[in-house]
Amino acid sequence: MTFRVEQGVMRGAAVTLLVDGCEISAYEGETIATAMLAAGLQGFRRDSRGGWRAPYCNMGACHECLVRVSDPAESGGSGVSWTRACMTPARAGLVIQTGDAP
Amino acid sequence: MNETSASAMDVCDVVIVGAGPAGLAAATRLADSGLRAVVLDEQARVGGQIMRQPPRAFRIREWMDDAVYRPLKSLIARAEAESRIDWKLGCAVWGVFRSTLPQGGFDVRYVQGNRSETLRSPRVLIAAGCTEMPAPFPGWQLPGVMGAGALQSFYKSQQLVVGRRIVLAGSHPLLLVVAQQLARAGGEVAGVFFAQPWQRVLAGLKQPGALLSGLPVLLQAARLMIDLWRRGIPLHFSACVTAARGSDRLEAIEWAPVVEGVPQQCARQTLACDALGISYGFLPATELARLAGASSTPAEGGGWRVLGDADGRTDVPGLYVAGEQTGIKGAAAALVEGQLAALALLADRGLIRPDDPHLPRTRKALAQQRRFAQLLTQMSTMPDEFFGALLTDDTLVCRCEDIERRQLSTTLTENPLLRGASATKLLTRAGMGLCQGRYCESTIRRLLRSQGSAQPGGFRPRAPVRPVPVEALCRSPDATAIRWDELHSCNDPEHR
Repeated sequence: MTFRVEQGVMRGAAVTLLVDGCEISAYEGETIATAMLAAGLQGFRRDSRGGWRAPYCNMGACHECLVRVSDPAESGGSGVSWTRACMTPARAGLVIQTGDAP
Repeated sequence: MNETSASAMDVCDVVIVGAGPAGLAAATRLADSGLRAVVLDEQARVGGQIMRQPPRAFRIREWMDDAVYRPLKSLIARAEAESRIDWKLGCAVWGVFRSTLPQGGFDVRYVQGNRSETLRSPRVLIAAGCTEMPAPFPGWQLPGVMGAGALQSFYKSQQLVVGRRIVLAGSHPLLLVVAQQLARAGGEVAGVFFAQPWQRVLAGLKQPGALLSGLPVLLQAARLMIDLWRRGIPLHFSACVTAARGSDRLEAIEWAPVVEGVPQQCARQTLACDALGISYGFLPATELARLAGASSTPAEGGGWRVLGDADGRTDVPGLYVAGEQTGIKGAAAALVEGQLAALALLADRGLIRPDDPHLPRTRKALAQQRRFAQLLTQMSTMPDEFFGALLTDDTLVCRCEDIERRQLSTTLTENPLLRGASATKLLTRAGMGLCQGRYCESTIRRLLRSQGSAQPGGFRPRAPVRPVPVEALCRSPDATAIRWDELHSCNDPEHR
């Protein structure tokens, strides 16, 4: 299983994200991609044939890790956007939806 | 100046795109001479991919403690402490355009958050690095398959070991580094596969002067191999991964011996794993420089390298390049190229004399690094036929638009006059997706070569070079100044 290195590493505060309705834990400073992989989630976007895709480049180039992210705490609260999970820091309360990307 | 530029644009001395070794070395050298650079990078912290720093919220006791990283770590420390550099991190540059104003210069457009902004500068240095070379094989789109550099950056910057059983495959020595780092961190590495024969390493050393420049890396490779052997990690030469298998995620790979550059499918074997890191080399990421009008030429192994002079000047006055932009050479050479481009820029500004003794000294240091880079390329580049053999009929070539090789082959057969990737894109949609062709251009050009097109053109670089939300453009303080014609300007005849 994918795991976080614990020895000699101190992470930021623990936060909780909601991925497709399920809570997963993350640490401040982690990307959404890291939090999802560490939680054993490997489906980020679905391709046109229904197959799952997951991070390939982890540097913002391939766009395979696109997910929909919204932050209910943000003023207005309605902003939902397609985001590269590998480039987006995890924040407490983020709501993430995997599946059909544009 | 017109109203828009006076009110909405930040005007600066020098803009540097990329905060990796080349960009940081250039920025600190310019600061030494009192020139203030604005440095943009898409990542939240400086260092580039080679030194992907952990987030500030992390505390790591022995981060990248290997001696080879020492010069880069001290460069980062120097740059981060330098007060004469303006950082714009977390900013994705989506276009560099030659200004239409009589005084010339460039408009550098970037997205920060959900807003597009513009910097105007008489001089721009592009040090945007590279991406991993795509090498499509059946199943390479399955979750769990990624670039070896991606596996490594999850570890370096996030302290995450992806996978329970990890396989590394390709032809680049990076595989040894990643295998050792992940094994040290507690990952189980089930095998490392090099497609080339081990003798290739020694053949490269027979080149004149190669032993001297290649010795340090050879010693490091030997040290890594001994370490992997001690850990009981199987190391294969003349063997490659031919397929990734699994229903909705990677469950196993198939691997086969390689004889004279061709995988022997009849002798393939299966190995269970849930993570696979691929590395056959790197492609220069030069779309911004080419968009700004710099001439380029095909790079060894794929992609396009910018044609600069010996010191990093492109053929567009005021536009400089450094690092992997001029061809893949690695971090140590990129650092020297960054210094050299900064010296060239200072000389052009009249801040140092054209016969400044630092110039020849830095050029000499670079020449040595370049020899070493050539050696590395010779050792790790696989021939077209090898990649052609990995590419079965139902292998995805374009991961974004889900275009298989079968479809591309049919299109090429039906259109024997097709000579370039751009025309192929119009007929097949391959390259129209969100990665903007970064992961299929080299494969399409390889297919065109195999159909007899000696030097097929690539995709025309187009702005925005990263997808930009329309909302971000509309919120731009100078939205009305974005000219639609600049979104498809390109002077490079190779890419028409």
